[in-house]
Amino acid sequence: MQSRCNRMIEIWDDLVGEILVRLPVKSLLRFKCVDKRWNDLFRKPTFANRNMKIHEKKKQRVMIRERDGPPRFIISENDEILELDWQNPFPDDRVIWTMEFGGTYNGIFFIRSTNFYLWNPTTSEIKLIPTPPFLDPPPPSYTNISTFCGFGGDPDTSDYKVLYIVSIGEQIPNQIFPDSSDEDDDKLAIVYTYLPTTFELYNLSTNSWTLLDLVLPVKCNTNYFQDGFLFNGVLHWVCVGEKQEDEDCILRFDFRNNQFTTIDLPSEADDLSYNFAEINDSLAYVKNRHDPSNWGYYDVEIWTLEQDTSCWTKKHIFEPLYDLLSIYYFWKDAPELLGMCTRGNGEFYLVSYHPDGHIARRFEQITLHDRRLHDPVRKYVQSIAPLSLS
Amino acid sequence: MAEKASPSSNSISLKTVDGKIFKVSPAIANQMLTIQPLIKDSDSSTIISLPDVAAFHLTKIIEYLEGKPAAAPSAVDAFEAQFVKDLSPEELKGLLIAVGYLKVNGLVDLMANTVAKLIENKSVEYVRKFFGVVNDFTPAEEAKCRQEHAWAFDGVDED
Repeated sequence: MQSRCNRMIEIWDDLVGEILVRLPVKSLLRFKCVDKRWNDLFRKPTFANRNMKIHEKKKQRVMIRERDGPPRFIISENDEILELDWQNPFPDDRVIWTMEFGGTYNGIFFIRSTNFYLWNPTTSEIKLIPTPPFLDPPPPSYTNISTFCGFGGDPDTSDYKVLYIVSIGEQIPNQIFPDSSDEDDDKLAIVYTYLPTTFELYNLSTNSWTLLDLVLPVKCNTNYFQDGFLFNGVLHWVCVGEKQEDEDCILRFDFRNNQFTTIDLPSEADDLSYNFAEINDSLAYVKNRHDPSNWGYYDVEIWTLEQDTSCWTKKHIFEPLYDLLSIYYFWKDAPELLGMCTRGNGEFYLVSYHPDGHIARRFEQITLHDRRLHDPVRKYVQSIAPLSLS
Repeated sequence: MAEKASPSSNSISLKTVDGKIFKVSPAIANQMLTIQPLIKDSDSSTIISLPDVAAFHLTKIIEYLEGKPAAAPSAVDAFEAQFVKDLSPEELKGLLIAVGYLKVNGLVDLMANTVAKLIENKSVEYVRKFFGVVNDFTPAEEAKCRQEHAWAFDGVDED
């Protein structure tokens, strides 16, 4: 029989764990120095994960990548701006000036820059990702190669993964000047269709890349690809059929089993200028559509996917919104959205819209880049998850 | 653990470490998960001893279990805030241990949140003392650990 004293020690240890897991990361980083057991406890993925979930529930936040310089701002769901306690962990300033948020998952940012990095903005830890095998040694020419990434992980493990997709462009017949015999004309009209050929997967736990032997379930042209949108451990891309008559669809990559699948697009979504988003725990397909009869106003068209089905439902959440040039983020509980407006002088800034159509807040001090390929607004959760293996 | 007492109504008698006997309704006693199995086998004459709970702590626990259901749903947060408001750090710690030992529904969360709030901005030395943790780092190891996230040591409360 267990002695009373041992039982009390066990109860006490459980209680201490319950208290520590509720602390903000800043406190945990300080209390790592209390003793070795605490230090070890905070490195445990189960602890880090629970701690993150507790804070995620309290207040949602996003980090903003501005047009220039290092990320400076965090915005919370009540439209409060916080200055990021920026500690530059990167080896040289070029990384900061060229960095793009390629994705975030569980508080870790995937940074695309001179190299690929994983970055934990809360602990300032970074991890340089080795060069994908496809680029090592670099291919002789990049003219007909396009590459895409997706960042995420299997929600059932604590690992972080990067999927690297290489598409090779195949020249398709010149349809503009089909009969041209002049060589220069031919060069002008080179058109490629990009077909994914190589899939490489990086695992943080092994710090290495693996070549995945995969064939896509559809033939798709990646001309319109961006980095995949992560939802519930699955990356999503809009996939354009290789030929005109092919159906467009959504291509998905599941980090749980490293397999591709497809689902249909909402049948009434009539062009490909939609974005993915997460709205109230559902995957959403959204578009800001300019209303020609109401100049300057945009309708926000929202399709959400019913969980575990391929059923899209159209949702009306927002009244027409003025000057909404891009949609970036939907807050979960208060259904406001963050989008981009213009000052009219070629500068773009962040705005928070209320569902009834009014502007909840203009973040005039946050200047955005109008043509960034990667979304400049990313979910930010504090995480103590370590990126180092030791 | 259970001794016989004089028969009375169907209330449960709980005896604290400092010898006080509390009579509580089965509905209240059942929310202390640790003693649940003892309640099943007990009759009105049973006294359940609680070797790790003092009268002060049991009074607070009963206050919580009786007061929380009586509060309107919108007033629960205010009730909980009031419940912990005047407790000193030492009283919090004692109550936390009692609550942890008895496994009191809902109160473990409240106590853990309250203590977390209390220590959030405290120094390493304060929490070592509070939790009775002995530092097993060498001075060099500790200095290195503090160096790693020096910014986390900004804005710490005075002990």
